[in-house]
Amino acid sequence: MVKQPVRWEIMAIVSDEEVDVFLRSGVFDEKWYVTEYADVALSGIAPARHYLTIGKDLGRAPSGHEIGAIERNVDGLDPHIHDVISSGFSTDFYLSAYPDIRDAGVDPVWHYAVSGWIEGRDPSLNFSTRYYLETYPDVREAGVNPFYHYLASGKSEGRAPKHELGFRYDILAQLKPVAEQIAAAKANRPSVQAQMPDALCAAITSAMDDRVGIILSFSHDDFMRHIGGVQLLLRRELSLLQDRNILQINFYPIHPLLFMDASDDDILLGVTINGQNAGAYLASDVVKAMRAARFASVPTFVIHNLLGHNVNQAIAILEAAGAKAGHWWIHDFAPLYNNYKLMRNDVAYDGMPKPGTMAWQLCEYARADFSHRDLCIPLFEKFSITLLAPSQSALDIWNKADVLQPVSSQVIEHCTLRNVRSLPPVLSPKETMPLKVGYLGHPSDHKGWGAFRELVLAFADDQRYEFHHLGSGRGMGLPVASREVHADEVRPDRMREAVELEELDVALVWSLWPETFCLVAYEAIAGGAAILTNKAAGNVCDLVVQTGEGLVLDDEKTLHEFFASGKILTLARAQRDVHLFDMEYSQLTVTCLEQQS
Amino acid sequence: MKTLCFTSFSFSYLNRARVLFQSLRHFHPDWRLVALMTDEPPPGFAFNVSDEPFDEVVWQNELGIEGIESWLFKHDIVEVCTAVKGPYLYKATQLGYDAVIYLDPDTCLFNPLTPLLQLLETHDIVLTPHLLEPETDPIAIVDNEICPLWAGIYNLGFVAIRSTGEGARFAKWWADRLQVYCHDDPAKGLFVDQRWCDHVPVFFDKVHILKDPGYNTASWNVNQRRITIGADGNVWSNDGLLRFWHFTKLGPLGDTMTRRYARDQIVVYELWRWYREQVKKATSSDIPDRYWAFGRFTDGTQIERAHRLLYRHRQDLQNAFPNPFSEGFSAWLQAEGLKT
Repeated sequence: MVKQPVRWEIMAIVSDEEVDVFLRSGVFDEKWYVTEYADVALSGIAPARHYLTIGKDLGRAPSGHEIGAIERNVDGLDPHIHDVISSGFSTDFYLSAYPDIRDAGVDPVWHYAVSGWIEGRDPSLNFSTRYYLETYPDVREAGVNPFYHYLASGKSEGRAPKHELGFRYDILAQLKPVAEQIAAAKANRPSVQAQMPDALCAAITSAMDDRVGIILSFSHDDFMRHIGGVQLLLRRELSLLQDRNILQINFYPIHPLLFMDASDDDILLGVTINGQNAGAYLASDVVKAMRAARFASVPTFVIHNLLGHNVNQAIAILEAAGAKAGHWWIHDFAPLYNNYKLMRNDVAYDGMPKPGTMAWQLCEYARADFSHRDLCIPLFEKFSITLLAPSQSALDIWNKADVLQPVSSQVIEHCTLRNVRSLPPVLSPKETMPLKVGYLGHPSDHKGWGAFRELVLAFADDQRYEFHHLGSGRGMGLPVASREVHADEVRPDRMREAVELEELDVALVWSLWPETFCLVAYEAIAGGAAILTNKAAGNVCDLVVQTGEGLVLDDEKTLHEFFASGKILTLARAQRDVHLFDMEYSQLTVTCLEQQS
Repeated sequence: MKTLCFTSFSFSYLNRARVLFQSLRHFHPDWRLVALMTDEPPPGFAFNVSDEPFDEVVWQNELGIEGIESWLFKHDIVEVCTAVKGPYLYKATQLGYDAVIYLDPDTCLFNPLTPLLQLLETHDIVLTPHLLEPETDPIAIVDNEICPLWAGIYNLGFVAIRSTGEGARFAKWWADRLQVYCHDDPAKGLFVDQRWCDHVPVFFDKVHILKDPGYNTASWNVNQRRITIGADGNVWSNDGLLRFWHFTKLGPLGDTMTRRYARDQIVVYELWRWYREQVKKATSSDIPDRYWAFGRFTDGTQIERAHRLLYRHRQDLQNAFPNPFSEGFSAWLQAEGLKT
């Protein structure tokens, strides 16, 4: 468990005054919030503060007020148009898909009718504003609201409300060249005041008392503030380091970026010392502080991620600190390719795109004017790096790429499954249906949300199936049973518990990228669900093959065929031995440090 | 095999032709690459062949066509850019090459055409059909089966011949027909250069109908082909390598047809995205949009298709105005109330 100061650190992000203002606003229903999200009480954080610091980012609601209770607004709008649009509008979808509208508290129908359609937003899962306007130029030229047009006349004229080209088509259509992605990310960065290097030097010196070791750590964001699988792992690692009296100094980009920064910008780094915020510093000032700091022993380092960092500046920091050797975790594939997910154009993984191939030429990520791989070469040349992989499949991909050479490598799985109970099949066809099929975690296309969405839309009315979403995002307006589930260091097994509680038969873990370690796949199996995945899913695919707990299918066409034919019903809990597992977590980098010592 | 490869275009298609020639240079650096141009350089545009990815330009007036101005005027841009293919194909058979290949400017190679050269070891003429299998969907029957019934079974965005034997005999016949009958007139059984080639398997021997789905893939047949990226990073069409794609109708119409028939084949959209980018990079900003030197009279006014058809059908006008681009014919049309 993470030590108490860490929790205080989380709470300090929002001032008492802000919490008071929020409480007085009338938006927040404390009783409802604590009941709806059971983890809040366990966290020990005041509910309103929890919402502002954590819940809001997770997409949670501040109250249980029905969305339909939002006041109808027809300002500047023909009431007839409002009524027609309302008849087909999905408020739940609109507010889930567009959190800014939810936060603004405006009538979503009014918003869509007045400006949402001009901004390219969709009024429901079954209508694409952009597609309709592109496909029917007469509607575009008329300047009429496209959804109103569809409902009032387009539908009866036989016009199509959306394309049937698959979710990948939309991903590709929205994909921008890398330079544009970076420019957009940098355009709206909030200003953060950098501190002087003396302050960092002093903070390090005061934290160094009687430490048995020092580890410099690099992450892609502030793992103490942000919620996610990797962030939870890093908090666990910090706790393990604290237990061993090892000082951890972690660097993260104040402004996260999905690429390593190849510009000449002096990166603004957030620094935490043993999990406590030590301020924001320019990378060049961190170098000065590292030179000035008098470390009692030679620091080692662990790189969890260099996204958002400048590799040369990270090298300068390590050199200034006198580090010679360290570890690099393969949480993703950023060092090998500009797309950390290793996918071509974010739509497919058919092996890592290699220079000289068409796959390389076709990919926006390869066409960038920098290469993560080239940026990382000096780091591997200057330091003795041990590669740590959370799965064999991740290590295999790294080795096959054959572009960056560590001195050694090791597989340390983030967790392992220990069988604790088995339930024999009931073999009652009655208990087989409806088959409970779930998506676990935050909706994200590369994690398989697009495939899940299409599956739900295709089989939502099929009595044989019942669809669930466990995680944040409230189902994104899909006709599914949605349950907010968030693991934290207090109860890391919450997703496993939810899978068992809901008695999910099948978890669709349809990752499009080669997962290095997919925690939800382990959680699903541990909770007794069978996994449905595809050949590209890396660690998920291997896990299914090794445990036999599920199926690996060729593609989405096969997936739909399995549902249409009912073949998938053989995965019902009633039809198979259900194995329940405990999850035993690793000690991450500490495993390796202890082996070395 | 000593090979000459050419395409036919006007300056508005120079960007597409550059992309094609770049791909040809990449896969077949030893081929002679010829740009058959039916146009004149736009004012202010510096056209230097040494800067282009092809070896040579052949202009419309180098084909030995008598009364070239009169002949040009009888055709619109599509008709004339296809009509010149025959005369040049025939001319190319006499230049000492073993094989001559024509590719449309909006095609692009993704793999070498080596298997095609092997076919030309034993065949004199190679054609690719629009469609390889029957359709089942009613709309697809109209678009993809019925359309070739009037436009031609074979897509003449590609043809390959040996420069001797039946290849040369075909080139001569095609050249003769296209000089007189290369018209977009389906009611008369004519669709530019293409419909003529329905005769080829009957009129000529040693013809090979190439049914490899890696060749001449386009919106009209992609529904019968599975386009994928293999573990080798290459592009595949069904179980073979994609040799060349026909990026016909770059723009909204092409997009609509591609969406209709590629459906959820994501690699197809990636290919188009890449192609659009290549064409954009190859575009010279100093060539005016839709430029064509033979689209206007010398007085600067627009030539309508009706003017061309009138001239085509009236021998007296051809006699009176041997150069119909001149102000004289323009003035006559105006005087007759046929031109504003």
